[in-house]
Order: sequence, then structure tokens, then C-alpha cells
Amino acid sequence: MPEIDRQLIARGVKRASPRQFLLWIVPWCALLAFGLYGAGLCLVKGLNQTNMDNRFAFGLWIFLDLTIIALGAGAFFTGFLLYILKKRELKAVINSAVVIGFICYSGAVAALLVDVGQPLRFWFTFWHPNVHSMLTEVTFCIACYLTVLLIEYVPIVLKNRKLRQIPSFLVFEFELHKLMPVLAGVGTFLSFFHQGSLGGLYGVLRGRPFAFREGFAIWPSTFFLFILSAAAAGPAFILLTTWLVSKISGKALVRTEVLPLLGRISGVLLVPYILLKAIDTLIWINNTAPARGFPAHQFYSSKPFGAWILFAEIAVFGLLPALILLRRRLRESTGWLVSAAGLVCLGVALNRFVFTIQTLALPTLPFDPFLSYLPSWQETATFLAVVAYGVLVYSFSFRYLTLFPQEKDLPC
Amino acid sequence: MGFTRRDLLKFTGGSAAGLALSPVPWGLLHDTSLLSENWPGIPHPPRGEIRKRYTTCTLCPAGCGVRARCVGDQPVSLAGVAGHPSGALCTAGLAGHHLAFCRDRATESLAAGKPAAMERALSGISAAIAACGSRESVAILDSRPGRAASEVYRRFLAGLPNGIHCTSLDMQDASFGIDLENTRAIVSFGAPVLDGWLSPGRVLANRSHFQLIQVEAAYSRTASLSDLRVPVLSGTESAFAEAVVRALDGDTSDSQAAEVAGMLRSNKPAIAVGVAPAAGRLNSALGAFGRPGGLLPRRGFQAATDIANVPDHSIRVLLIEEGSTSLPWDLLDRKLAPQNHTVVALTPWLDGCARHADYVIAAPVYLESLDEAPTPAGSPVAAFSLSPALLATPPKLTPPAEFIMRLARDSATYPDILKQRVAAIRKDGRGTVFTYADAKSTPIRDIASAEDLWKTMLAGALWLDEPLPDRPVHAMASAKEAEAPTPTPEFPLLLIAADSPPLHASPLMSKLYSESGLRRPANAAIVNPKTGHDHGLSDGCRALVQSATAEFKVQAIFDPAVMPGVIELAMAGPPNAAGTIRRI
Amino acid sequence: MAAPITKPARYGMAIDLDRCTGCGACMIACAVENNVPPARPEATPRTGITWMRVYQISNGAPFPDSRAAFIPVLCQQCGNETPCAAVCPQEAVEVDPATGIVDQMPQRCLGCRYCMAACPYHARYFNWWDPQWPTGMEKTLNPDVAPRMRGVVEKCNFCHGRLHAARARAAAEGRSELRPGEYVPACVEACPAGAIVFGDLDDPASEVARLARDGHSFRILERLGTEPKIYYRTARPWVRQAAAEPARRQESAHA
Repeated sequence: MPEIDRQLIARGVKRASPRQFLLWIVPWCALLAFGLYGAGLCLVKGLNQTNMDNRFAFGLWIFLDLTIIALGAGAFFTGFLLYILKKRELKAVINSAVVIGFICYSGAVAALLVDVGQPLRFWFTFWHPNVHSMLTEVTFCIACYLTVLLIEYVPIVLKNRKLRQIPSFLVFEFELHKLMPVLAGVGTFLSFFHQGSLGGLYGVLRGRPFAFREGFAIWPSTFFLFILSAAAAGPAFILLTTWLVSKISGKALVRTEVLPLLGRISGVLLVPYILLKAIDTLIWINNTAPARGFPAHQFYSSKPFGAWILFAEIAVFGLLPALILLRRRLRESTGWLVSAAGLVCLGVALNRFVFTIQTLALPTLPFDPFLSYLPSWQETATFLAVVAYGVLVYSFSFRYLTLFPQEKDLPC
Repeated sequence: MGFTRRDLLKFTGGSAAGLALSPVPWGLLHDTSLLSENWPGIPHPPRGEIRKRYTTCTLCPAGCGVRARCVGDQPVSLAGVAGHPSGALCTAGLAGHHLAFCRDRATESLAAGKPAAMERALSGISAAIAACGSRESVAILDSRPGRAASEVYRRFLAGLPNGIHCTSLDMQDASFGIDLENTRAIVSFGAPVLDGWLSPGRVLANRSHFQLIQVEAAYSRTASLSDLRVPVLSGTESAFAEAVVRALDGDTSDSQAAEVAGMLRSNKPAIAVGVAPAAGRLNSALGAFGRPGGLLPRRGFQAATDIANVPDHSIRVLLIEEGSTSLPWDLLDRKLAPQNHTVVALTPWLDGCARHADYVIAAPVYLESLDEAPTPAGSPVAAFSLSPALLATPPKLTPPAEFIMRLARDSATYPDILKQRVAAIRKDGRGTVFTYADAKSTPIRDIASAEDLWKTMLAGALWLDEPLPDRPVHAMASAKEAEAPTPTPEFPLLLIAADSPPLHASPLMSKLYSESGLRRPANAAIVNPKTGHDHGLSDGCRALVQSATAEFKVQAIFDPAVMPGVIELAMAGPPNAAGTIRRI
Repeated sequence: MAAPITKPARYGMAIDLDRCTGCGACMIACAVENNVPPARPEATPRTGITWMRVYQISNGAPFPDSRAAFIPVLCQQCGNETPCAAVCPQEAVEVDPATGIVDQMPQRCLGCRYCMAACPYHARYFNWWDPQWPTGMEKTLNPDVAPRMRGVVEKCNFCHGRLHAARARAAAEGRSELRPGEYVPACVEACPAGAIVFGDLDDPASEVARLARDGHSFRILERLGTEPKIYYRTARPWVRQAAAEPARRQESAHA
């Protein structure tokens, strides 16, 4: 067993001993098993196993799916920057970004299959698509993009030290690699649209004045804001994960200029995002919501969703990290860099939370109260299964595949 | 060369690609969706010829006409009959065809909790009756005196030395009809006028004609919709009625009574309903008896002894015909001889009085066997209709009247008794017959024979008597109302009854009680927020209500409409006691 | 087979809130007609299925001046950019141009519940459990309506089965129009107070059209622009404020 293991690990890098690796893997496998049990209960017994109800039709899973997809946007955006805008420094993290993207999207799709009431009918959207629905667009785009990610993942796998010894695999990988720019372009296009449509999901809800936004033609402003926020959060998440993996494995994985570059990209994208978000919020507070009979202060008058949440989203988790990431001196300090990246990711999560959970908590009918919701253990377990799955896939990928090409040239 | 791993891989890959290009995946996908559309366990509603059949609802004294939509012989939905004096059904009536499938059905007769043949029950009960001492009585608790079945009970009891025909219904309610169509004001002492009083169709059709003054402690449904709400504690209704009478004479010392009197002066004629002593007092003062817009006497009234007036510990054999509401057991228990008493429950249900009975004679429920619907509550004239069965009568069930006839060694059946009643109506020759199917009224003289009348009634019809000629009438004497309990430091709050869920109802009632907040569930304890905070509660918390004799686990609900200092309990028959509540 | 009904209609309702006593007869009649299963023991007011649901509102005054009003809420059959129809990814929601009825197809529903998030009237209900009837009660199901399975959304469709039956009867008699009152949903028929009036809003002679134009009539959340076809009527100002104005939310007696 250890011999095969050693042969699968790339040359020039050190990895933990098989025993140590096993010790790392086992708890995650246990978590995965527990999570699959929770998900299994939901599939077998029905969605009454969750704490979702007719008022909270979406809960933890949708919130986390939207967040995961926004964070996994690093995959498409890094690919876009590398293959289309030719920012070659990002070669250092592109493989990791693709794996993370693959994990995020496949995990989100798996969670969605548990979330729908009749998973056997998943293909109905493809067979009877509704061209007016944002969710149709999301379904198509995510399905296509997951395919793209899978195709982008394959060459990384095929470059494994053992597998590349098979000539046909090597040739296949080489040909595939020539397609990378095309795939990156397609991926960017698809990702652009579904990140936007996920925002559009909520922006078009004329029945939910808290979420409803006007915009450009059929696209509400949230369409564009979600794209921008995902583009800003993607690099930040890559930064965070790279730093985390580096810390856990105890190795230097990328040259020192890579992470600050990711931080700068994130910061540069945050600025227009914050600006547009602030303008959009002002228009919403002064025009859109009151025109529908809902003065905006009403949305923030129920605990715990006070006006602080708006301030937190824009200022604390948006403007503050932007300011940090745009200053070179702060970027060069790992502490500031990582903290700022963390704030950006939390900000995106908060933004998705506000749109998924707060939208449903707020009453629309005049005689409805404010509602609360806490996920059940089965819902949490299902999400933890996705996390465990992600850690396991990444762990195996990190061990046996070259996720960080610069690693072997860096001192241990 | 042999079959290598590479060959295997090639074969697998090729097969996968080939399958994907074949119709197989699409077929499988299609089949799975068919599975999802024919989900196992989902019942297929049976098909059959759609028919309309008519009957009369016997779930409560209102006796509303029913049009049943039947698939083959099975009713699948019920509706009211246009033109009937009570043209609409209530929630219980609309789902009455589900009652047969409720839990806790008594499916066969029981003796001491074990299945027993009819003969065994008959001989055991006859022996108990024969063994009665001189001071001990045999009583039949009649759920609705005045029916043909009641006549059977009276005849049987008349043949015994100490037979008592009793009831728990208020005799005043039973003796008078109400000219609701001409009433302009109703003072209700706790009667649920808008929520199950008389027949909803009739009351609501007239709602815009009368002012409603609701005098009761609870924030009942009727109180919440009343034109004037007068919260008074239970036990003080008569005192308030006296105050209103004084206010009608010009005494304005009690402002609430003066307000009521003012409304009564501007809205005439007026009546009072509800708690008997208070309503009777006010009705006398208003001159409501025997005048248009008031309480009208009608034929066919049959008095029975109020069970509360039967001497304590005097009943040796008690036969209880359980109606739509279960009496609190302690009330009946008091009347039983201390040792060797025999309780017979003539009931479809295993909960209720059957829990305390030595013999349970399983009875059919509504729609399972032919029954009668006597004069509806509040009807200004005497009336009669049949309630033909729409379902097959399950075996081993006996209608209560038929069981009493067996005890009396009368071999006639219950339908025979009803036929005799219909023949008597035809013989009297008064009144009209309203047929449900065509909403036409025919004078009874135009119906050729008793047999024709029987057939007409079996197809769904209502006989309405002529009004009694004018003559002076007097109120009946009523028992004094129960006194209100006195709060003590240990039990500072008063427990009062709120609207409670029905004991036996269609499972669809969950739409009202647990799937929406429209009605309180049976474990609700509703308090004023101030009272709640004073006792350490929060809205929706689990709590314990305690009185001197009982305690209940409840869910506390805050409602600022509730009187401070009381706990409204939504359970059936809360104790009339002082109590307290604390969080658990 | 569709009857040759040539006259299109725009079916709507006018509900008199001053007559409604909150008895719930409409809720029960709806459940009986449409084979809605009874609640599981674990069901709550937020996981039950009540295509028609009556809400209670209060005038906000404390004891002893509190008064209640009751508001029956069902699918409002939105006529303008119907929110649920626009968002369903499988086109499981169909707006019939001939009747204006917004119909839900549970056989196509994936159970994504996006329509439930979109509906501001909370008129859509999800089958969190498989339906279950007590033994024997399946015999009482209405053969004109298919029971649904778990994991799909359902809602009021103005008793579409009754519309089909009325059309079939009219076709059998050679008529091309439905008579007024020939087709009424179960809730309309059941209301003991006669609070619900149903008919063709586009027929100027119909009672419902007259009531909809009346000054006492309003619609819920009108400013959202969904153009609901359910009109509510009241002469009591506090009821109108509590029911129509989103800006002044009332504390309901209990949610």
C-alpha cells in the first residue's frame, strides 16, 4: 500500500505519511457518513425532516448553495484572468481553483437534489423549460458549467505521476489543454450568467418587495450585483483556501507575490461593487420599495434584522476589506491580507443570507408576523456532508495531483 | 493475447458512450418520472355513477337539510339544501360523512370492557333493573327529548316503578322557538350566537337585521364579532340581567347595563338567549315570550327532568344516550347510587361516557342508519324530518331506541317507530312538506297517504307545522346558574371555557385547529398579556394550569382581548374553579 | 374533451369581510372537494395544507374593546405577470387565457418551491409529507380531483374540476355558454353567511363585477401590481386598513 501511495505522489514534493493521511481522512469520512444519513432521511422520509415550512420554503441549503457557488466563482474568474487576460502569475493557483470550483458546484448540485421535493423529476426543467424563469437559466447554466469544470478537472487528474505514464492519457490531456482557453471562455460566459441569474432569482420577485429590484430590461440590478460580488469573492476565497491548505500542510505552496495579487484583484473588484450596491440600495429605499407600499424602514424593524445588517454588509464586510486590500503595505502582511479576504467571503455570505433568509422572514401580507427559522439537524448534517465531501476530494487531489505547480520549487 | 485491463476499460467506455446515444437513458428517465407521478401509496379515488341523495344532518339540534354528492353509494361531499330554513351546513356538517371513519369507534357491544353479545347485555341490564331498591331509580339520559325515540324511552320508564326520563338540555331552550327573522336585538348571555347557535345558515342570513350584545367573560368568537361586548364573570349573569331590567326602568347607575338598555330601546323587538335564569329574567322584562320577534311556543314540546335536579346518589341504573356533546362525568357520577350501580352507554364512541360504563351498546353514527331529526333548535314551529342512511350500517350496531325496545321486550324496529310518527303527522293533517330535491312546499293534505308521506320523507323532506294560535305564555322556571368560584391567594385566576375543538369530528378539522391558527387547539390556555407576564409566562410557552382538583399541561397564548385575571381554556369542559398558571 | 364554450371569462370573487364569521366552512369544503389530506400529527400552521385559509385580524384595541375580523385568503389568481407562473422552471403553472384561472400541475412540479417564495399571498402549499387518510376514508375522496404525492406544490385552482364538469354538462346539452351559478367553487357554495360571491369579472351584468367596482371593495397588496382577482369588501375602516395597507401591520391575534 505505501509503495503505490509513494508512486502516486508527484516528484519533488513531500506529503504526509500514509498513516498520518489516514488519520486526517477518517474523521471526514465519519462526518460524510453522518451527513449522508441525514440526507438519506430527507430523501426517504421526505422534506418534513427539515425545519423548512410553507413560509420558509427555502432554508439553510439554498443559502449555503448560493454562498458556495459565489465562492466557487474563483474557478471561473481565475480561469478568465489567466487564459483570457493572460495574468500568468495565476498559474500558481488555477488547478486548486478548478478543484475548489468543482467541489463547490458538485456539492451544491448534490444538495439541490436533496432540496427538491421530487428529485426523480430533476430533468423536467430541461424538458419543459420556462424561458421566463431565472431558475431555468440557473439550472441550465450550472449543469453546463459543472460539465465544464469536470472537463477542466480531468487534465489535472490525468497529469498525476502514475496516470501520465499511460500514453493515451497523456495525449488526451495535452489535447484537452489546448482547449483550455476555449473552456475558460465558455466557463466564464456560463458562470457570468448563472451568478447573475442567482441574483436575478430574487430580484424579479415582485411579490417580495424586500428583494425586488428594478434594473435593465429583464435583468434586475441584483443580477449584476451578484456577478460583481462573486467575481470579487472568488479570488478572495482562493486566497483563503490556499493560505489554509498551506497552513494545514505546513508547506509553502505559492510564491509570495501570488496571494497579494489575488487580494488586489479582489479589492479592485470590490470598489465598483460597493459603489453600485450603495446606489442600488438608495434607489431601493427611496423608490422601489415605497412604490409598492413597503417603506424600507419596515424591513429592518424586526429583531434581529435591524439596520445594522445593511451597514455590516456594505461597510464592514465590503468597504473595509476593499480599503485594506487596495493598500500594498497591508496586502503584504499576511495577517491583514487573510483577514480582509475572510471579510470579503463573509460579506458575500451575508449578502446571500440577506436575500435568501431575510426575504422570507419578512412578512408580505399585512396581517402576517415576522417569522423565524432554524435548520434541523438533518439539514445541517446534509450540509456537513457536502463540506466533508469537499475536504475529502481536495485532500486526495492535494495529495496525489499537482494543485500548486510552484510548490516543488519553493523551500519546505 | 487475453482480455486485458485496457480492453475492459475500452469496453466499459464504449458501452457507456453507446448507451448514452441509445434510447435507453431516455426510457429510464421517462419511467422514473412515471414512478414519481404514480407515487406508491397515493389512493386512487374510486369511480362510479354520480348521484344526488338527500338526508338531514343529526350532528346537532339544528337539523339542517343535506344534499349529498355520492359516487355510487358513497357520499363524497355534502352541501346545504337551497330553500331549507337553514340553507347551509357548518364545518361539522360539511365533513359529516367522515365521521364513520373516526378513531375510537365502538364497533361492537361491550360488557365490562370485553365484547359481549346483545343477549348478555340485555339480561345483565334487565337483572340490574329488577334489583332496584325502593328508593333507587332507573334513569335514561335523553340527548334530545321530544323525539319518537324519547317516546320509546318514556313508555319504557313508565312501565317501571322508579323510572326517570331526564336530560341535560335546558328546557327553556327546548320549549320555545325564536322568531329570528323579526328580532332586532339579541342579548346573549354566553350563547355562541354566531358560532354554532341554532343553525348557522339561518342566523347568518339574518345577521344584518339584529344588534348583537354578547354578555360573557370569555372572548369567544361571538364576542369578537358582537356589536357590544359586555364582559361579566360567569355566575353574575343574573345580577347583570337585573341591572339591565333596572336600567330599562331608568336607573343608570350601572353604565354597562345602561348602554345595553339604550340599545334595547332603539332596537325593538329584542330577545335574550343563553344562560337560562338571566335570559329568562330579561325576556320577561322585555315581554319577549309569545310575541313576534321573540320566543314563540310550539307544539310537540315534551318536558324531561333536568339531570341536575335528580337527587344525588339515587340512580341505580343509568342509561346514557350520548349526543353530540359529552357531559362532564363528575356531574353524572354524583347522581349514581354509591354501590352496585350500572351504567349503560348507548354511544358510537369509546371515549366519552363509554369509559365509565359497565355496558357499552355500540350505536351507529350519522349517515349509517335511518334516524329522525326532530324540531330544529330555535324553529318557530314544530318540525320533523328523517335522516336516511347514506352508508351501509355496519354489523353489530344498535340504535339506542331499538335497544330500549329490546329491553321492553318490544320486537319492533326503530324504523317502525319512525313510520308511526310520520303516520301520526299525516293524520293530524297540519302544516306543509318542503321537499329538498325541488325546494317546493306542499300542504300535507295534498299528500295522499301516510305511505306516500313516508316515501317523500325518505327522499329528503321537512315537515313544518302550523304556528300555534296566539295565547299568553310564561317562561319556564330554570335552575339557578352555577356560582362563580372565588379566587384565593393560591389560585388567583378564574378558569373559564373558551371555544373548544369538537370531540368527534372529521380528521379534516385539522385544517382549523392545527394547520392554521383559526381555532385554538385543545391544549391552549389564553391569557391577557399582563396576566401572563405577572405569572412569568411568555407568549407560546409551555405551562401548567392548576386548580384545587386538577392540573393540565397547556400552551400559553397571549391575547390582549382576554379579560385580565382569567385563563381561557380551550379544552372541553374545564373545571369551574379558581386556578393558577406557571411556566414549565 | 373540452366543451365548445366560446365565451371567455375572467373568473373572480368578491368576499364580504363584514359577513365572514371565521367559521372555516370554506376551508373544510375546499379540503373535501380537493382531496386535501388531514394533517399529520406533527403538522403546524406553517406546514399544513389549507388552499383556503381564514386569517384573524384584530382592531388593535385592548380588552374590552377588542374586535376581530376574518379574512379568507386563497390563491388570488393574479392577472398581471403572475408571479408564480413566471418563475416556475418547469412550466408547471399555467394561466388559462379563457378563464383567467392560474392552474398548478402537481404532476410536473419538481418541488423546488420557488413559486412559494414568489407568492406574496402565501397561497401555495407544499406536501411536506405523503398524504395519509385514516383507513376507509379513501372511499370519500372526490373522483374528479387527483390526490397529490409528497414533494410537490399545490394551491387553489377555483375548483377546476367543477368547471370541467359544468362545461361537460353544457356541451352535452348543446350550450356554448355556462349559466350564471352553474359553476361555483366549493368554498362559495359552502359559506353559511353567503360572504363569497363568484363569477365573471368581465360580465358587466354579474354580481361580482358590480361588487368589484363598488367603493367598499379593495384588493390585498394592490400596489405590488399583481392584479389579483379576489376583491374584499368592508364598510369598517379599521378592517380595510388592517387588510389592505402593508405599511401598517397589525398584530394578529395569534399567528
